[in-house]
Amino acid sequence: MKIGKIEEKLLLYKIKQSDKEAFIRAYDLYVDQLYRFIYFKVGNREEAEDLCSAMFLKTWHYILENSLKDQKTLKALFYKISRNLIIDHYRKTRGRETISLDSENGVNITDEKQSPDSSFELQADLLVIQTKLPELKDEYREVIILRFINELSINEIAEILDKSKGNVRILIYRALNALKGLLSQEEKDK
Amino acid sequence: MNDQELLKKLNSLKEIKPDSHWREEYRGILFSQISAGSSESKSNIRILWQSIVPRHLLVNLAKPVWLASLASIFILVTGIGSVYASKNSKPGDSLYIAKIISERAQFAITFDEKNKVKLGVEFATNRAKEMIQVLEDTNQATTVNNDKLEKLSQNFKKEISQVKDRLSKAAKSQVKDDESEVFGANLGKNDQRMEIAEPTALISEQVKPEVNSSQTDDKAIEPVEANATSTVEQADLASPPTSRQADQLLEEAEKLVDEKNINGAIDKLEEVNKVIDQSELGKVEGASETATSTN
Repeated sequence: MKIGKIEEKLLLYKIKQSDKEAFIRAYDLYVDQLYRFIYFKVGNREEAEDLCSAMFLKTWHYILENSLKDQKTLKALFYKISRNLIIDHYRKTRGRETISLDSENGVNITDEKQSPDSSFELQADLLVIQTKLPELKDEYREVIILRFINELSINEIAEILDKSKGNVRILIYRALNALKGLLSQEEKDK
Repeated sequence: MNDQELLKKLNSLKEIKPDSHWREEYRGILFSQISAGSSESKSNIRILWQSIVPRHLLVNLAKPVWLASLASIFILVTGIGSVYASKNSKPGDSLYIAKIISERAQFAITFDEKNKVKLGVEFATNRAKEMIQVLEDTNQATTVNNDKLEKLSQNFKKEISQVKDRLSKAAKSQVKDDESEVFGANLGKNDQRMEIAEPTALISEQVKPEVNSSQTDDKAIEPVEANATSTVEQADLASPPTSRQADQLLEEAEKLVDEKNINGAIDKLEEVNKVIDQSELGKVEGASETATSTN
């Protein structure tokens, strides 16, 4: 589900006016990509759901309590709060477990309505990511998710990460190179 | 695996979505969680209007207007206050410059020549009064007072010479006008003279009807006998006799100032004012007389 820039600004304005219906509309628009972002960061379905639900509630309260004069887009705000929650989550679970995607334990994270072929292909792709993505540096993994999976623009990523557009481009380039390096290493090992 | 394949595979991970059951369930939970204490939904048009026109637009627009009007009122009040406060100031006082500026401003906005002459006499009187103030001031050193007196005396003479210039210029122009009128009369163009005289008669009837009615018996015959142009000549402020009389008084005032008889000089200046006032009255009378003669 895509949304235009003007519509997003209108939505943010409405939410600033404590419009709960507008916030639910924002939930419908962004829940999938935010869940995906959190899932790839924490690697666990239940934790992703918990963090995602906590993130939406926290964002609502944050908007009510702050004027948000500097906030340009609603999407960036959701991602920023998600990042902060994930960092808190890392701190709490530090040393308890390592990040790895949980599909290897038989959990089907795909939609049940998907065809078996596409599901199989996705599972194969996921396996590659599952093994290689967690090996990447955290910031590399983050930009790959944002840019190539969630298809955010450079501007949006720059706002979320509080970096310049040039820095983001460099980061994406290095992250892709790092991932390619890991994948070619695996192919050589085979 | 090349770049394109890698990007394609990464992009295919977009298909990963949360469990639809959880998604719908949490939607309801979230709605109930945020429902407490939130406001009603507004229409898009209302929101657009509010974003285009801020709530306190009128107040914000009025601010500069208020500030500008307050500033102009402040300037006006302080200006008028300083002019009044400077009325009795003498050279050396901080407000003396305000007095001089207000005099210049008064002079600049006066366009009538007679009023300018009157103002010149008034300013000369002011200088004379200031000289008295300086003489009465015993706090200052004698040398300082002498300097001030010298400067005031120069300013006084300057004002007097300006008044003289104005009077002589006015007299010259009046003589020229009179000559042209006499020339016209000698050619026997009585109709033209009637045209010149009639508007003046109308004005005189409006301005001083009581003078006209009370003096008609005595003066009605005289202008008929005399040359009609001579009545105008005698009556005008700037006519040569008035100018000569005023000049004489001004010269006397100058002499008195040189002799340090400043009160006497002020009296002379008052006489000059009287001469000017009388000549104005005479002008109206003269005009009414002309009107009578033409009728």
